[in-house]
Amino acid sequence: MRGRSSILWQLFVSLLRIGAFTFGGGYVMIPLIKHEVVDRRRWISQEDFMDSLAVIQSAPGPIAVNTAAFAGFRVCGTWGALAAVAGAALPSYVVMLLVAAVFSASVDHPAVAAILRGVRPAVVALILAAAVRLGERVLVDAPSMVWFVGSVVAIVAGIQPILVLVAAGVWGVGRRY
Amino acid sequence: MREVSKLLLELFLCMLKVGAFSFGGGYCMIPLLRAEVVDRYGWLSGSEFVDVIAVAEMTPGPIAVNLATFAGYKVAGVWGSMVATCGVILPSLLLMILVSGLFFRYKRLPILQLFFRGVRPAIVGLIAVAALVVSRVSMVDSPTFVIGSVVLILALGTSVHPVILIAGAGVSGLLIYYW
Repeated sequence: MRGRSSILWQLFVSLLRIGAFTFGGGYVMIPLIKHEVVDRRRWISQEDFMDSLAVIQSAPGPIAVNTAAFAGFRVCGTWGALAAVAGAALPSYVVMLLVAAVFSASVDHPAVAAILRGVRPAVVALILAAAVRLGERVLVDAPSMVWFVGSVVAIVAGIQPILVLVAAGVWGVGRRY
Repeated sequence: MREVSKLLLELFLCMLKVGAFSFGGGYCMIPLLRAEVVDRYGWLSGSEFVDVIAVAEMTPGPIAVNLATFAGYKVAGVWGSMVATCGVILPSLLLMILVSGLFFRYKRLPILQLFFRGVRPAIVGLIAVAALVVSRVSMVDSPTFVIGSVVLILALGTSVHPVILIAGAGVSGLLIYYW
């Protein structure tokens, strides 16, 4: 039993360290998690980890959380998954909470307002860049282009995004069978 | 007190939904989150929401967690941030535990793979619309347009880190609008 708690703790701390120093989103965490869990600790084989990536990237939710959960589960079952996710999410949560508190208190200051006016278009640009980069990989044939345009039109027209996503997924299954 | 509990519950359920359907992580979550938090519930204004995204991009860790934490905080303080973060993480956590358990028995789940391959172009569309919607409150005059264009070029053409791009944009804003 002691061996198990010790592994859980190690898992938690490893993910905590990764979570604390990863700026710029979940995808960045994947190679770090791999390095820790496959190369350094040898808890999971390289092959298993690579195979899992397809599933992880497809599943909903934060990619970093999914990767952590998968790795954690592989190492130590359900508790492992919980420990890993807690470690990965905690630094994020704490820092964000602090920033949020400070931010909310200072948002009326004209200097802060000026900074925000500058930052907002940058946010638009980053979102657009994310779409372009994803599109480069994903929009490779006519049907995917059709679905891309169709989903833009549908969402702008007011259809619930979730419905659009599910429809696209169902079609993906239907076209094969 | 009951008002607050009701709000927290609504927030939790809302974030469960967002977390369950954000196929592909953080950026995909943005339009789904916006549809709920700005359009459906009116908890945040359009421009407040953009600010949430900006701050979430600058703090460490998965952007989805950051978004949930900040949005939750804005809606209902510290309790809100906890509830929102747990809500957004829970569906993927449960799903991954389920799938990981099955994974090593049925290594490939063809139906799931087909499903997700179908979803991806729609995700690109979703994210594109998110950019469009967010631009309405962000691109308000020539300087913002310039800043946006420069950041877009840098983001696509170079490997400058998003944090630096946002910081640079913030400094530009400070210089242009404050001094």
